Formats: sequence, structure tokens, C-alpha cells
Amino acid sequence: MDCKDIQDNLSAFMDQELALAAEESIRVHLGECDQCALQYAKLLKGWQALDAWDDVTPPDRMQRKVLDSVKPQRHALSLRRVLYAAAVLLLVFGTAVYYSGQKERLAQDHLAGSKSPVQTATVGDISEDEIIANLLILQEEDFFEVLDELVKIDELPLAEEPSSPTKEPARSSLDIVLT
Amino acid sequence: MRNTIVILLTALLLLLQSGMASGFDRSENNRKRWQSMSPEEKRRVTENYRSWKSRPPESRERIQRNFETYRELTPEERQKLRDRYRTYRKLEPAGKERLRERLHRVDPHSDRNSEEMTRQFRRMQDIPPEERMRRLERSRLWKDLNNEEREIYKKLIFLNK
Repeated sequence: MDCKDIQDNLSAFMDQELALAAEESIRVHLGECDQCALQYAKLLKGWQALDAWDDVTPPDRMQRKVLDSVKPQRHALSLRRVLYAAAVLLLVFGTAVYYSGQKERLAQDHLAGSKSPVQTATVGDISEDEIIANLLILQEEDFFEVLDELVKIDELPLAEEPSSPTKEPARSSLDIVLT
Repeated sequence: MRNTIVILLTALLLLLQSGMASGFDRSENNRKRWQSMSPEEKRRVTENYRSWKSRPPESRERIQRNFETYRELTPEERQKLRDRYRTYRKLEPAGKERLRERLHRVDPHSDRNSEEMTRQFRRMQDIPPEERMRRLERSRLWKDLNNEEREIYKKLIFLNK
């Protein structure tokens, strides 16, 4: 061990934390090296001085004062952390939902035949995403094609109702029946 | 603190813009439904997609509008229309075409949006089927129908009364 190693391990040597061989090696070195011996003496003196001090209990008033000044900071710190966490979570979730919605809209635009650049780039290709976005319609296309007719069938009896354009041009045959 | 507020506002903006989780759920449900479909069903849907692509834009818009209307209906109303569709399919192509013509007379413009269609459908449910049938039987349309068609029309009017 050189002097640097010895001085780095002096504290551990004092606390008897080193292996026996290392301890012996340091002890031998301290007997031969004045510089390290001086360093060891300084360290020893410092520790002895610390031992000489008694523990001091602060007065209650001082303790309360210190704690009171620390508490608001701790609250502010925890609130800030919660806000940061909420913001990051919202950002991640929002981004995910946003891109999911964008994807669906693009697929719907594509299906509806809009003239977007994406649509022209993928014409002829059939991607699952496009189908999935409009799956319900595609599954029952025939039903949805005539749904408006099915809805209007109840109005069928009104087809032959005579209209009265001269007197009440604004009223439809449906209105006449309902009134 | 200012950074936090900016991040929060950005995230909220993104959430609002995307139509929130409803669209997300719908997309997820569709995906699950697609994954659970058999290869045969997938093939049929893919064919429907091809036929959809070949439709003129106004036809696609009409179907989209009908789909929106359907989504606004209650489960009972949806069921009623589904049952009605089963009966409607029994009409011959020429009969369907005649029905379409008659319905066009009722609503020549056919540009009702989904809210109007839903509202009109519900208003018509307030008229008893017997009353609707009585009026139908007095109409010229009734005279043009053959016996088979008359039975179908009766079912269409009286279904789930």
C-alpha cells in the first residue's frame, strides 16, 4: 500500500473495520512514515474533540419554529410532485387516445372516399385498420343501406294523402296526420 | 409550476380533440370483434369493403347517415327495425322498387339528417298501427299491391306494435 491508500483507509482503520492483514500493514506503515503518522494524529485528534462535546437538546420553541418553517415546503413539494405525475400521465394518455382517434378518422375518411393525401397513397390496398374502423357498417351493409326506408315505412300510409298547397303550403301530410 | 400547467393544458387539449375515450372504446370493440371473427366472416366483410369502395359517394354518405341514425336508437327501436328488415327482404326486387318510389313521395328530398330521422320515427310510433293500416288500406297504393305484397305490408306496419 502506498501513502494514498493508507490515508484513504485511516478512518476505517480507526473504526477497526479492516481485515487483520490490512490493519497490520497500516500499523507498520504508520511506524515508518512520518507524513501518514501526522495525518493519523490529526484525524485522531478531531475524533477525540468530537467525543468531548455533549449532545445538546434544543429548546422546544426552537424545535417548533424549525418544524413549522419546513412543513409548508414539504406540502408544496408533494403537491408539485402530484401535479407533475398527473400531467405526465395525462400527456401520455392523451397522446395515445389522440393518435388512436386520428388513426380511426383517417380510416373513416379513406372509407368515405375523401380526397386526403393519405387516401390517395393507399388506394387499392386493404388494411385491417380501415375495415375495423367501419366494421359494424361493413358487417351489415345491406341492412344499413335500406335503414332509412325501414324507418319511413310507418309514413307509408301518408303517401296518398291529398296535399293542400293553396291553404297551407308549409304543412306536410305528416303534420296533417299528427295534428 | 408554469411548466406543469402548460403540460396539463396540452394534455387536456389532446383529450378533448380526440373525442375522449368513446372513440377509443368503439375502436377497441371493433378490433376485438374483428379478431373473434371466423376466416369466412372476415372474407365476407372484406368483400363488403370492396363493394363499399365501388359505391358512389352519395350512396356511402347515405349509409353513413343511416348508421348514425341507428346508433341513436334504443335497443327496442333497433330490434323493431331489424325485425322489419327481415320482413322487407321477402319483397321481390320489383316490389322493393315500388316501395322505394312510394316512400319517395312521402319524403321527396330524402335529406333528413340522423336526428330528424330518429325524431320522425319516434313521432310515427305515436300513431296506432291500426290507424296507419286503416289509412293505408284507403290509399291508391293498396290497390296496386298484390295479395302477397299486402300481407308483407301489413306485417311491416304491425310488427312489434
